[in-house]
Amino acid sequence: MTRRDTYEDELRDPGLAALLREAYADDPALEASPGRTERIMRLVLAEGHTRPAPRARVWAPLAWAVGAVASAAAGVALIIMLATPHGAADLLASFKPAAPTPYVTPAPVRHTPRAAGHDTAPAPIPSVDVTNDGPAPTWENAPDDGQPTAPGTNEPAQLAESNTYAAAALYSAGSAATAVGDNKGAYEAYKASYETMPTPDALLASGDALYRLAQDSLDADTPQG
Amino acid sequence: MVDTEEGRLLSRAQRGDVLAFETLVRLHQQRVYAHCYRLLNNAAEAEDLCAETFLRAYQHLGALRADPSIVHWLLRVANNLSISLLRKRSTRPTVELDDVRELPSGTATPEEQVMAQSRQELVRQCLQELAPKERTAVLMFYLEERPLEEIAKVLGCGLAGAKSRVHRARHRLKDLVMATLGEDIALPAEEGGAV
Repeated sequence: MTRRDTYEDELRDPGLAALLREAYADDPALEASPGRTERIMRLVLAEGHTRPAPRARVWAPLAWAVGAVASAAAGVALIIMLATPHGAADLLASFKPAAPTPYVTPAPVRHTPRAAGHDTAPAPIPSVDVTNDGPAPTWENAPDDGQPTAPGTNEPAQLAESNTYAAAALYSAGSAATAVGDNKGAYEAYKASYETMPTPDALLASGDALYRLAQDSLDADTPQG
Repeated sequence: MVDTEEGRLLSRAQRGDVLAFETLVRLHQQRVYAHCYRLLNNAAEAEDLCAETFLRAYQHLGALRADPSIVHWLLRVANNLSISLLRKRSTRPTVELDDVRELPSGTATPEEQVMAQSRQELVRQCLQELAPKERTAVLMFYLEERPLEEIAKVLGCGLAGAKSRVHRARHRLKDLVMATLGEDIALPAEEGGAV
């Protein structure tokens, strides 16, 4: 006996089957109707070719709409690619993220005296050879030479101060270059200014150093005894 | 295409032979009609749905396959149409005047005949209480004695689904009959043949 037969045998119920047979026994509506085939064929021949087929399922128009939108998008993309001078390669290259620009120390610019009568010439851009490579010099990581720092010679404070002055000078030069229309020179000056600005760590160290300097001065001025 | 008489008729019908299609209608119309009638319990609606089923078969003739028989496709369409109609019915089905059957002649007394008919109607009402797919399953399995594979094809489900429906419908129908007739289903004295 196969498994399928077992399934069916489990479901067999002679009592229920007999009850249902009894319910439909002697029902004239279930007797064969001689004219039914002809009636069906009349309907089929009358409407089989003229009546539209049953409405398609709801997803059919949805699928058509999605397909149409996808085709339109593909067509537009193809047109854009063909319209690009160098084809798809250019288009793809424009989507690539730009590589980070390597840091370049601005070349030192010589201070040249401005010639009289040449006021329209771009102002010279002062530059300092300052790089922010490596950790900013701070009070804590200053080289320890075993000697206490003398009052008035606070290195971090001086360095931060000099950097700030240099940045300000470069910024001024950028402003001047902008005023005379030298955009390239202004760009270079502003760029050098921002790169010269002391880092936040350096500024903090500078504040700390200034405090110590003031404290040392106060101690020196206070009469001992 | 299965190389049977029905397969050959279907091939001819697909090539435009109307007489071949009419032969297919003649072969299967009674079974399709009976299926609709038992589900709907209404002769006029069953006639309409039977004709509609064959009209759809004609409109989709190119997609029909006699594998092994187109009757499964026809019954499935008829079943779905019947279920749609049942869902549209807002009121309980009423018995038309044409459907009132004459009392069967025999040796039984008029009182016994009335009792028997009343019992038949009550069983049919219990069947109408079942969900349409459960009704299909129970009628095909117990009344028409069709295998589970065929029931699964008509219901559009798997073998396990068909078995589950038959099992559930059987228990529900027994409960309904017991509640309505006040008796458990017992084997009647004499059994009739399947329609």
